Amino acid sequence: MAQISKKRKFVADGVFFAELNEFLTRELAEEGYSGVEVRVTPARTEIIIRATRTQNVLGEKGRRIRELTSVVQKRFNFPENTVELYAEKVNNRGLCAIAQAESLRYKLLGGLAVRRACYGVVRFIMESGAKGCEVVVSGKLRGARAKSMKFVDGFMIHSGQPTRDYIDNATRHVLLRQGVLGIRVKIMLEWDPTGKVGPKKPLPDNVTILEPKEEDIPVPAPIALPTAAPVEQSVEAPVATA
Amino acid sequence: MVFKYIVEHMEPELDEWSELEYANILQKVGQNRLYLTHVHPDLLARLPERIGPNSGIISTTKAVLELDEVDPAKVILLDPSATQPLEPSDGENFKWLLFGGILGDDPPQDRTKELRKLGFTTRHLGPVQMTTDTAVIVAKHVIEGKTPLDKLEYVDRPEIRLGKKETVELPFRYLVKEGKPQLPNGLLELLKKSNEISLV
Repeated sequence: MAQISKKRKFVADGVFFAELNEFLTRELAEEGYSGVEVRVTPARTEIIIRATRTQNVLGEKGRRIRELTSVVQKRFNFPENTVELYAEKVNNRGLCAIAQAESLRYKLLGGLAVRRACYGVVRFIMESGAKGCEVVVSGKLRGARAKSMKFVDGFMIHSGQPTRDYIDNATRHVLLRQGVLGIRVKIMLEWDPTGKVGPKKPLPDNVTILEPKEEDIPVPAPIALPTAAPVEQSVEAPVATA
Repeated sequence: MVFKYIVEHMEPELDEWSELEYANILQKVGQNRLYLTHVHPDLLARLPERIGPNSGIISTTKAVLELDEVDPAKVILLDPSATQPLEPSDGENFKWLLFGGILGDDPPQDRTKELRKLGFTTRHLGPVQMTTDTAVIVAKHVIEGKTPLDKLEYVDRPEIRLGKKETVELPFRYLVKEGKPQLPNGLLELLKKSNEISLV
């Protein structure tokens, strides 16, 4: 195995990931492709493809995924049987911006009106449990001026580190006969302490007011007060007031 | 001096958006002051009534240089890439104001260059693209109303609400009146309608 410097290795890994991602985005757009994960083990390299329609990615009796494996292996010069492709189903496609952008793209190409397509996507995203979403369709078509149509629902943040934690973005182009439109889908996820369908960290300006705990106030011991002459007095325990 | 406004129609068809804008210009400049040139003969025959031959707009298939009554030395072409802004004093030396009837893209594709080749004196109306009707109205304010460009109130890229969860951003500069962008009559309906049709 040729030794390459660590810097070159990381750059090469990044380039590999970028090219693989771009190839799969174009190839598997119709299958709701959402992303890849590359795991390198000593024996083989595992490529996990996340998609909404895994059945189509696998193909008939696994034919398509075998074809994809062979393409990847030949292009990147992997030795035989050292690269494996797996398809994994996206657990909540309503919260994946890429999947929704592609879905909107196909709706528009299929002839659905802009308002109906976008409202449909917005509603599906909100029903999947998002905190907020924004769908923007922009561009110039023949016979009209350039414009940007924006459909929003729920809550959205725009600035700061929370945008990196909470927001999933995607942009896609849709090539129509009359011109090219740009689609931008922005989904704001809900806070999820378990970390499965949202970020674990709460929003920085989120204040939780805790209920006061029920407590028994301890009874203080009776204090003997100094007096001038010993006077017989009945000493009562002080009453605890809540 | 009576100023005349020429719009050289540069789109292959005359769509509803253009129609709305030309009707708006007619309303603001008055009868027989707006020329619509370079209209295709087929299109000329079937112009909608409100911008047709009896509306007060002078429509012709001729291009601007072919018009006999126009003296090229007295024409100003409104061109976004001009170096000088339009000023009230320009009204003393020029009589004709020429605009490209273009349905603009964002960022603009500089389709005015086709008119620039013809060698007219050029002036600009500011750095931000305007719709044809806004450009004519602004030019009228400057030349006839003698108001300098920077004294007029504008809004850039207004976002217009079409519904409870739906807005449209128009990437152009518009004149403002009472805090609202001045849109041609019927544009709001056109925008709502265009979202309801299939794009295929």
